[in-house]
Amino acid sequence: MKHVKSLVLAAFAVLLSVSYILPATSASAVSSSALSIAPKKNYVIEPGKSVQDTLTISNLDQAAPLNLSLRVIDFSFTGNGGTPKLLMDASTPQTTWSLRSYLKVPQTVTIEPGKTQQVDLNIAIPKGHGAGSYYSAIVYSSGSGQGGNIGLNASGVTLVFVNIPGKVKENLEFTHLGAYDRSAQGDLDGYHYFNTQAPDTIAYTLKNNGNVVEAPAGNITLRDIFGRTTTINELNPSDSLALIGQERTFMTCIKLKPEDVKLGGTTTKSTTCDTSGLWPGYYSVSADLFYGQNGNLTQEVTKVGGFWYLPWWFIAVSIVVLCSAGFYGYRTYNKLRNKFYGPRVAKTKSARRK
Amino acid sequence: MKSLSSIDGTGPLIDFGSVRGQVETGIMIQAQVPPMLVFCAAQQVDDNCTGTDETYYRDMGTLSPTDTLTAQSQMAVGTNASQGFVVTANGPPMAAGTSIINSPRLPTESQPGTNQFGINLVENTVPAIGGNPEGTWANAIPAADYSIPNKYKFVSGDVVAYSPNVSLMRKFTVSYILNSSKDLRAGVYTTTVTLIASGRF
Repeated sequence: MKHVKSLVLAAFAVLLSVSYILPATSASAVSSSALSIAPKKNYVIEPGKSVQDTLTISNLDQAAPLNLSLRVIDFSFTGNGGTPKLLMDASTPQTTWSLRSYLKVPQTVTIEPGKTQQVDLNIAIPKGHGAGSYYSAIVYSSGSGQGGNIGLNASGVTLVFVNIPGKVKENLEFTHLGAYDRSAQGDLDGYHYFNTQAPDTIAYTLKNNGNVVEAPAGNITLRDIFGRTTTINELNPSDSLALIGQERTFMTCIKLKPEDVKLGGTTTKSTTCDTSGLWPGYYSVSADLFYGQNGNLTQEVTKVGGFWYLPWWFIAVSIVVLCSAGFYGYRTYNKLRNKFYGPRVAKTKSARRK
Repeated sequence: MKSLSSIDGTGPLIDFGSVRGQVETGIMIQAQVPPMLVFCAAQQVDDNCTGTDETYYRDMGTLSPTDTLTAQSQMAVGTNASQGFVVTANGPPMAAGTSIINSPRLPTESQPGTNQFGINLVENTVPAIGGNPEGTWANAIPAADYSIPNKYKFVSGDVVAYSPNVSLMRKFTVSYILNSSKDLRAGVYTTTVTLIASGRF
């Protein structure tokens, strides 16, 4: 009995010392929250076929592993810009354009510090599936906050678009065209008919009544009061999309300025708006846009609009010129009148009575 | 290219020649850089997301009707995608069981003595907390409602920062304020704010 007792005590002592020496278990290790992902994926898949692809995910943190949980959610749009409205609630019914049933990704991924990993992505479209555009989003969640009053989670999102070829319903309705203030982020109140600063952006808004996402092409022509024209051929330099049911504002620069930018050791092209160099005055704007998916008729929509560019200095100079013209005109008129009809004589009270 | 006397490729050779092709214009080889979205968030982050302090929660202290509790976190974000990015803030209201501290739906000043939880992304003086965005890419900015100094709001799903086009790394500081009325039910009030970075379409 004494022997058993000493054995139990020895085992307890060993267990205690081991648990004291060992660090905290990796199960509770803090995850990195620094990730690099693809913001968008595009595919064309015929009904009855599938696509096997990979998602490249990098853990930018050099010290901590990146523990990610992945899930597929639906999204729609926010307002007239390109901001996705993520439908995060798992109980949200699937949208009519959802890929949730067809898009498969692993539920969890762990990436070592400073490493990049390829994660499988599979999209299988069933036979007989109707043509059109379908889209959902992959959410990568990391950095779980546990404890305190405020917890913080960091997540990244990849938007996935699939076009299923075939006969689709395409209908874009032209609603707005004109000079635009970019800071309005697609809102319709960003259109300005009178501009005191030289506009550098022309925008157009299209309502997508079809069952496919659209990216229009074409050109816009600006004509000033002297008949001089400026043609904008890069109508959609960011390859922006009008989602199904969205009234989308597309923006383009009157003059584009290409730039090289570096991110993650790679160089890519970017475009920003250069100074438009417009003169004060009225400008008419005419747009001629084309859209259409492969295998469908190319369609055309047109619209004519206009705007004024009247800078404050121009308004001030115009007022001074008009006032000066009025003043000197009146003086000249009086001089001529005096010359031909003699000076005006103020009538006396008695003369007025007569 | 050969021509033979038979139709099955056998027999004597009649003629032997070749076809020459000439490339009139040079061949351009292009390498496409895949778009990427870089994002990190924690209590403190490095400018280019190469490290964080790995702290994802904050104890703000004891609620008081006379004081404003504060906290701050940081996030850095960048993309080479031509459509730019958006960051949304998502989460439930701060609560202890069924007792909830609501958030203003419009940018509002910090008002000690009222139940109020809000955030913004700029430097504030009342209370002194936060910081303005850091980095050279000026086209990545806080959303209008979250960029007014000393005014706070929190609506789940709101865009808090965005860039309309290519924007390399920019660091934002998120400030949190928490006020309570004297009638607030006792308890530990908590919430989890999920910052979601996504590309635009």
